[in-house]
Amino acid sequence: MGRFLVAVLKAVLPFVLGIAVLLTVYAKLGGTAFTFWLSAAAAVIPGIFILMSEDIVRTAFWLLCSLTGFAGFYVLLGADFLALTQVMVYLGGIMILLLFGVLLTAKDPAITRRSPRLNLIVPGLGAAAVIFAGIFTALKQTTFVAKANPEVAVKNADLAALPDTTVYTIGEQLLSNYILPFEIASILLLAALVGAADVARRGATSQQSA
Amino acid sequence: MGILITLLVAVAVAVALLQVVPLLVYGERKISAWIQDRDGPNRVHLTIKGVPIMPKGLMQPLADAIKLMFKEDMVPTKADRFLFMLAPVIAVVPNAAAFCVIPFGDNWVIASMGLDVNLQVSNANAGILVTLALSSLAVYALAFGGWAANSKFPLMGGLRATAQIISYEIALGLALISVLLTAGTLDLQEIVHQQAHNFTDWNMFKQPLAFFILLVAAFAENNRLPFDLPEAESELVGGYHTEYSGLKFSMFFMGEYLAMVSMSGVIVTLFMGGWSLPGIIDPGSLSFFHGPATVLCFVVKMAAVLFFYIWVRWTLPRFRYDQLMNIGWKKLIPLALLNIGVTALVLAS
Repeated sequence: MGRFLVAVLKAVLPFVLGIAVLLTVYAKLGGTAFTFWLSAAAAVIPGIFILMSEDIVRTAFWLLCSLTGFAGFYVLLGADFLALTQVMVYLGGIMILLLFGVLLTAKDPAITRRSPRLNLIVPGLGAAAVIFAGIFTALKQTTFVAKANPEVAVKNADLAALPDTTVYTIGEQLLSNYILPFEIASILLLAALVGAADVARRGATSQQSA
Repeated sequence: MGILITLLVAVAVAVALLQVVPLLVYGERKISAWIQDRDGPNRVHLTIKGVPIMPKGLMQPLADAIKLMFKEDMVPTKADRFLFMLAPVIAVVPNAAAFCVIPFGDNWVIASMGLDVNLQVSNANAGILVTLALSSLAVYALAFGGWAANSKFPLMGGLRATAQIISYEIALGLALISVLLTAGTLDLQEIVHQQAHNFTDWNMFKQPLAFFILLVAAFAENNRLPFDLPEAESELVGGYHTEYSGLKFSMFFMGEYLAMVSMSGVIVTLFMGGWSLPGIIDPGSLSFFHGPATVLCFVVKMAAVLFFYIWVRWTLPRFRYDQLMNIGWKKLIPLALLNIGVTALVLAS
């Protein structure tokens, strides 16, 4: 009986503690900051695992977590449609297709990639520094609405003050102001689709004739 | 106060969803027995001091659950332990979470306590997209589960499942688009209100083709017969969950039934008037009984859809894999596109 109780406690305690910690942090930070830090953790920490992991399917899982974290940012910024599209297209579509390719072509039980090597760290850091500098300069030179008018920023700091949904605006803009880029993108995708089908079929017919 | 009520509703929904699963399993076994002219589970019962509390057979789900809990939890030696543990969790969570935007009742006004309870966990404006996004995540359970076991049958099952689900997701999405075109909103509560006044307003009758396509695609999405190729017992042993045992297996099982529950919730809300019953249960009533009545109506409609799921499973044989892919890509998707075109033309004219 004692052992049973210990087992139950060991199973339940982490959950209770985890929920307690989350609730305390929530109460301390408030909704917006809490969501921000949660999304940030979900976006950045799996990123480290993506770099360190050697198994490609596990890498896919960590990328999944990271992209979910970014969806959290979009929600926080009031871009609900973008967040849902991120989940639907990147997680539900593109990632699963990549994974499908891995499953289909796997010959070895575990597909491994090279773990990061020491001689790659210096060029890696260099590339990271260049990208960081680029983003930093871009951020520095952009005039943000919130920075220009602090009153608006204070009003919009509350999640409740954001518009209900962006779906209608995005739909209207796509079919009026941005109709040309929208159509060009759709033609590009159609061309890619037809091309992919052609490449796939060419293999099939040559196999049949051979 | 508001957040407390939302929390209460969320907990109530989560608990109810988990309780629906054993009931559904029991229902499945009983209905299949009835269709095949058998008795079904008829032994396990609860009798306290000679007083029968649960009739014979009704305790079967509990007995099953206890059996599964105490089974040995086996992990294949060469499995990827981390993903092997994770896959059953992914099977349950998104499928249960997909229910969070579905309105299972009208606003429940409790005048004596001055409360106005929204019987919906989250009234997100882009509601239907949330359900779609979450249910599109459930496929990872099958992909990871099939991969992590590091064994032939699960890998085959995982591959089949992934291919099937991503193919039918397109038909599902396209069928939804034509319904959303007629509704003109993504807000599920609003869609129910539109259907609340006449039976002829039900999208089931306004969009019969979309209803049919969605129903077929939903069967394929949930791996139900006639589309249960990912776990075809006779060819693949058990498909992606062959190597799973005990509670991990039961979580896959639960995930599948939760997906059915969430999907039937979507079908009822979009096509069958949701919680409303024209002429009998109209929206906006302030009576205390209005809330429970709408919930009851929703549950009965959902039960009807779930019964249909079970009925089809035990009457139709399984498709061949090439037939499955042909139906998905060459029949359902063109039909759904045609339906969108016709709907758009009718709406524009």
